[in-house]
Amino acid sequence: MTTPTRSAAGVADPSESGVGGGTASPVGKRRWRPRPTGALGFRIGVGLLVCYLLVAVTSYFWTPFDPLGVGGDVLVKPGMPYLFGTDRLGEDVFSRTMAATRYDLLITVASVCLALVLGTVLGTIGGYYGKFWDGAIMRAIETFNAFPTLLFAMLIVSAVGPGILNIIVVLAFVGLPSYLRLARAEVLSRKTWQFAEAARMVGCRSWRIAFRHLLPNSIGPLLAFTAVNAAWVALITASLGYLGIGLQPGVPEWGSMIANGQDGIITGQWWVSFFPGMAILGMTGSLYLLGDGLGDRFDPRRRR
Amino acid sequence: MFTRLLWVIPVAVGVMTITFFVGRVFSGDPTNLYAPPQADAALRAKVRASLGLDKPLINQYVTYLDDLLHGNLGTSFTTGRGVGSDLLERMPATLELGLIALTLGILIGVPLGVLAAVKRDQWPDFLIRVFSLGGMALPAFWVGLILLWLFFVSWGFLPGPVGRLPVNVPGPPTVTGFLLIDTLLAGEFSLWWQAARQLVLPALTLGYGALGPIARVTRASMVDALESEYVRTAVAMGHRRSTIWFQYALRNALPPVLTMIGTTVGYLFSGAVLVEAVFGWPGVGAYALQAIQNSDFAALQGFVIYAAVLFVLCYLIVDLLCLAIDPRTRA
Amino acid sequence: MSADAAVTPAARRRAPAGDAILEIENYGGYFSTSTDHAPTLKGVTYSLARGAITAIVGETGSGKSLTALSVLQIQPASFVRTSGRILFDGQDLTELDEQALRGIRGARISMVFQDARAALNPVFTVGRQIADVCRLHQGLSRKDAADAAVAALRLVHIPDPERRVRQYPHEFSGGMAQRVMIAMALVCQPELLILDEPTTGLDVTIQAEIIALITELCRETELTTCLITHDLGVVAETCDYAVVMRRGEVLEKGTCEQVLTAPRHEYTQQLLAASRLVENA
Repeated sequence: MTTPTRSAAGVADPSESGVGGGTASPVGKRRWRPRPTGALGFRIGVGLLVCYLLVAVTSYFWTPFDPLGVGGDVLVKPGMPYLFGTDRLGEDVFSRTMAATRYDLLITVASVCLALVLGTVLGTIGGYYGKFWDGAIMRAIETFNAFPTLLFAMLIVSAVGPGILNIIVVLAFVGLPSYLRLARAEVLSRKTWQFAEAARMVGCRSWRIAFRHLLPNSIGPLLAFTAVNAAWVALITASLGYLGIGLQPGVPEWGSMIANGQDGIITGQWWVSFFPGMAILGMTGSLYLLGDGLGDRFDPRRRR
Repeated sequence: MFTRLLWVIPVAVGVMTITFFVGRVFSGDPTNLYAPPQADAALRAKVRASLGLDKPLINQYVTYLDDLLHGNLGTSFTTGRGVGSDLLERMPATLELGLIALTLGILIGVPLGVLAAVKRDQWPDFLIRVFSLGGMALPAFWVGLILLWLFFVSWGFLPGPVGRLPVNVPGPPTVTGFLLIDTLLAGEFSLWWQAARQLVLPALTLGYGALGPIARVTRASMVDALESEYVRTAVAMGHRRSTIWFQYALRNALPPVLTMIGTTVGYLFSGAVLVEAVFGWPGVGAYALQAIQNSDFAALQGFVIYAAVLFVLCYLIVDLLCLAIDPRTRA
Repeated sequence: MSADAAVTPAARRRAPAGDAILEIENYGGYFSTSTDHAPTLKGVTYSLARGAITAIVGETGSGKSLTALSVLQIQPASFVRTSGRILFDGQDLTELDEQALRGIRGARISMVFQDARAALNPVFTVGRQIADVCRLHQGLSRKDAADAAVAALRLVHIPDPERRVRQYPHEFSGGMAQRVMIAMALVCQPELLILDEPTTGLDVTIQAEIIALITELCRETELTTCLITHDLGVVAETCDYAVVMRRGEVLEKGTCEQVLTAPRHEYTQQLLAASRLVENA
């Protein structure tokens, strides 16, 4: 049918909007027409993330001032030469913000990749092989999900001690259940599809079917979720840094920078905490936009 | 439905087990924290025995579970009191803040989500999406600090981060622990006003983080509902837009929103730790933070268990609610 | 649908000679989401005679449903009209504002859709949904509207209507749900009823029942009916007039007998041949 089985979305609120061109020009009352905006968000997200990556890499070679160097002018307002001002110890906020990009980005990317790989493998196994493995894994997952995420991270990190590697592993562990569940759900829903049957008939062994055939088709929604999860991880990393748990003191990290600037807020030196926060916003915001864009692209119900 | 209720038990047990093992396996020998520094071997052994650390791990685990089931969450070595009573004392502060934040999140988030869905791809939708993205992408502690800077430091509308009441102001007699209620019960209206003013910024901070995801899920769910066939029928029958949006579409869009509200409760626990740190709020979150800073693992354990069990219960309630509102599942 | 009875069903009386209650004039447009903006409807023109049953026949993609949705102005938002108008009782529906249209929908023109169970709100009882329409257009009290809902179910021959009126759509079978939809469409006694493939997807015996119900209701009240279908058997059995559409254009129209026994267009002949209807000489 030419008529989509969905209803007229525009009826919900027909308001004025521009009209499109075409072979013949439209007549009558102008009605709202749907316009895709997802693509723009996706591009902004990707663009911003690339910038962050560049900043992180650049910070290894060059920052305006030494991010760890103390002794400069204390608590200077933003301007030249200190673009973001300086903090209580005389360190340049801009340089520290740049340097902190390394750590926050590294931790986020590393733990997400780790969780993605492990979670997907385990989830695929659970979904495909079913019964015992599935049940066992799912019960464990439900138990882990009972902990609010930050609290769980707090608990484990405070137990295992500070350090970048520790944080990466802990955050990967905390994020694992979600990937597992997603991968399992995707595989389960496709397990009975025709091509899996076909592969079975041709004689492929189980694990080949699971990983070579089913998984690639499930990747889309998984990737979309990864972006959102990465945003979450970035926030938790910053939160742990703010609370003073996890990284060694002195290492520039956005969360701990905000904590350092906290006293300054009351006395009016807003810049020490403000800029790292904007840096976090930029990263998590672009990750969310990326996730939304990917989600739209892989959404099976998308109007093409 | 009954089976769902039963599920809480194994999950709760799992939570307690995990916390126990994390504590014991990772945090090393707590004897050093409890025994005085110059203690000799004999004294150390006595301390160990009193803490039950000389028994095998399994026995310790069983004792631990037994204690928990009797409500004994262990003893905090910072306060010297039972963790349970510590938590009970500080809970109302966090609960009052959390409930107000949750209410804000729902009362603002749901209508915004509906509005965004109805005006999809137009500028209200765009603005609302940016606004709710901020709620999700911004760390709560930063939002709190910025709000403080704006409303307290720069403009002076609202009081500073000194806690639930201004400094040196005595509170009302404790009935519920909720200041907003207790002050009214005691008839002290100016005190009520002071408590309310102290609440504004922390509640807004926590609430903003709650309303972000709620608005987002509401929007997505409403969009689905608005594109459905039954909405088309309702339009074809000539129903008013308000009827369609709030009765026909919203009722159907609710289940994912309710689930998100359940998840938000979990967020509120995490967020409480951060917000209480920013605003000097004497609640359970600040207690947990102190516990970490003082390596008071018993206290931290107690808090995590309390939070997890509460979270599971809330999720259960939300699950039951979802079942109740969908007639298809009632049969 | 037996072949012999095809063209001269007993249920049909002499073709009514009413004036046109609905006139679609030169209606055309395209979808803004399509890449080339090729016209989806091209100069669609037909009218519905008062009191008659008119069938709109065509295959998938012919634009018959889209045109019908346009009557009530509930076509997809991405559809852009480039020409034409739709006159209902003299009024141009394409020029009316939302409020006026709401007054017409469900009260003067009603529509019944294909998948009844999906078209009914799953969280409200059937009775509530029908009563809502009554209260909306007729301002009935809650009690009167509830009674009207029961009466409506009785009208479409649903057994035990007092009990069923409190049930939810998922508790009805496909055929029963379709009856409910028809009840809801007729409860405010509209002047025009449009049915978009009401029997597609139902079992054959149920299809026959629904068609019989529709025919009976429409004849009794002299309701103008527009039946959209791709099943020529249905057309032959029940309709007074027929309009044949293909790819957004009207190919031929006329009385049912005319179109089925003496089709002018080659496409209509193909349709007839494919449907294996035997034409009376």
